[in-house]
Amino acid sequence: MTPRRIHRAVADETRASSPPAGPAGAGIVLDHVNKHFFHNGTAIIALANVSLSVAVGEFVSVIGPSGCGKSTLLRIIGGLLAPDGGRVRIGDATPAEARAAKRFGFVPQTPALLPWRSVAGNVTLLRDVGRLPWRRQAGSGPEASGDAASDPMALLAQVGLGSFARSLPRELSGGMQQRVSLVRAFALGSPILLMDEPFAALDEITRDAMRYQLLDIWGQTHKTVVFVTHSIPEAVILSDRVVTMAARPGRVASVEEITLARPRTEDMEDSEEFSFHAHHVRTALRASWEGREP
Amino acid sequence: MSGNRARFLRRGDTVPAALAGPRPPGAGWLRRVVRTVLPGIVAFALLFGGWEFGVRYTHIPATELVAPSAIFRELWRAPGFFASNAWVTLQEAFWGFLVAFGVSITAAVLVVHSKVMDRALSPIVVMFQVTPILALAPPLAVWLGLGPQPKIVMAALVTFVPFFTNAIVGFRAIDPATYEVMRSVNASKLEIFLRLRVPHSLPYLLAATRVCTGLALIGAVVAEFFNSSAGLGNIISAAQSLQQQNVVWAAIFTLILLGVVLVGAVTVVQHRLLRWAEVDPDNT
Repeated sequence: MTPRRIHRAVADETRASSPPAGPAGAGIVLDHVNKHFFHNGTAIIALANVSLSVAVGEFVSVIGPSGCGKSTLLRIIGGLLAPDGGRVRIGDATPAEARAAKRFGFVPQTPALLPWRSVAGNVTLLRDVGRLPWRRQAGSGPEASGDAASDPMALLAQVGLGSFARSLPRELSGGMQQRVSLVRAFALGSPILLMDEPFAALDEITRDAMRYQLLDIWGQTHKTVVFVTHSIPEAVILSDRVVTMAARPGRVASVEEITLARPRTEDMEDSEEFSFHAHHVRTALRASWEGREP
Repeated sequence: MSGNRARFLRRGDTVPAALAGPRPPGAGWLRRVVRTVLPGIVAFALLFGGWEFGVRYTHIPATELVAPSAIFRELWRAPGFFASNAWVTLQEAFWGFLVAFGVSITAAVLVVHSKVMDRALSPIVVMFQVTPILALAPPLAVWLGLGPQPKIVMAALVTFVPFFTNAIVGFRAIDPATYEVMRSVNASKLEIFLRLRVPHSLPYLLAATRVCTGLALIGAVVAEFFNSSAGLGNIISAAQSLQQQNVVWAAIFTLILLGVVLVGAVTVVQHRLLRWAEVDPDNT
């Protein structure tokens, strides 16, 4: 096992200056992004000069202490928040344009299902948006994404919820509801998935199982994923790269490339290679927590 | 014991067939019905029995208080008379209810979507809230006359505030995470309203409907007291002046019956539409 080098992308040392040449360059590029909020009249810097690029089909996790701006980063990528400065590109579009084109599948921390819709109805919700019954237009949206990999029923079956399509959300456990939330994002057929600590509210055992269910459905399509998490093992086993962020001000502290082969399996969590990467991320995280460089 | 299981499960809970165990014996449902209905029947019997007994035993004159038996006899004597007047009152209450519903929903939509409208309309709503609205019945009668208009306006005024406040709470009761998911695919305000706010407000609006059913009847009846040619309120004030207590009470009983039927109907609709709701508004 050869030691891997840790990429540092602190402040000016920007990785965005050499974005990976994906297909048509359609990845995610953040270039010196800044964002601040006002809290009780004082400005809080949520993101300071954050530069990061995510290649097409890449699975990138963002890990860091609370308040490091990782959720803010996710929302800026998704066009839900506007940055104060810097440049964000989703392929050749702005986040707002990409959002309007339904290119993001968003998975929040809570399942966020509509309690009056059945599981099947919830899974198709995001496709239905933009198509109110009286303005149904032919050939827009879901037909274009009607491939097998985003077939809602097939996806539900794949995560073991095939027989719950007609159930109401309240009849499912927390883990099952979060699987529905995952399927909802995949069924949209969007090329990019933004996940904001989707497993954080689940118990540890359910959480372990969810990783592999996510990898399983992700493996068919290899969508681009930005995955925000608090869990080191989760970040390592899922990702191609793990971005560690530091707080006050929110910034990228280090980037760890995960070299574990794909498809990833549960056995890998016991491997030396896994421990090696986890150790690196943990060291970076500890350093960012203590406010110094690793 | 089937009784123990019933205590732990709430209506609407699903039990996996394997865990539910053997079904209770055939007489189980009868016992359940008896258990749920019997206390109510006993309470009613005690109330009316005590009333009847008290009136007879203490020889209270019929000009002061009539016994339930006399009230039922009165209803039995002229059911068409009470029914046709109930129909008049019901229509007034219904139209008032509908006007209040339309105005309050429109106002709530404006308030939820615009800070300026919120600041403009909220003081007016507070003003309505603190006004003893039933006291407006005499001036309304002077202004709008003998027809159904003052009764409709009164029923609308009485029901406006409960509808408005519940509609606002309901429209705002959306889950922030769900809202964000909808925004992540660029859902319009209209779509967020129709797909999120309207369904979320249903439990609140139906709870308000339950309350307002009774309130609308009260509003219509009180307006009828002052200037009217028909309706249960008209009967009550006319019979009162003729010292016919049995007719007064028969009209009141008709009103009670009307209210019970209407609230029952709303409850049925509530259960049908709100199966998805985690918390049953009736059981909290």
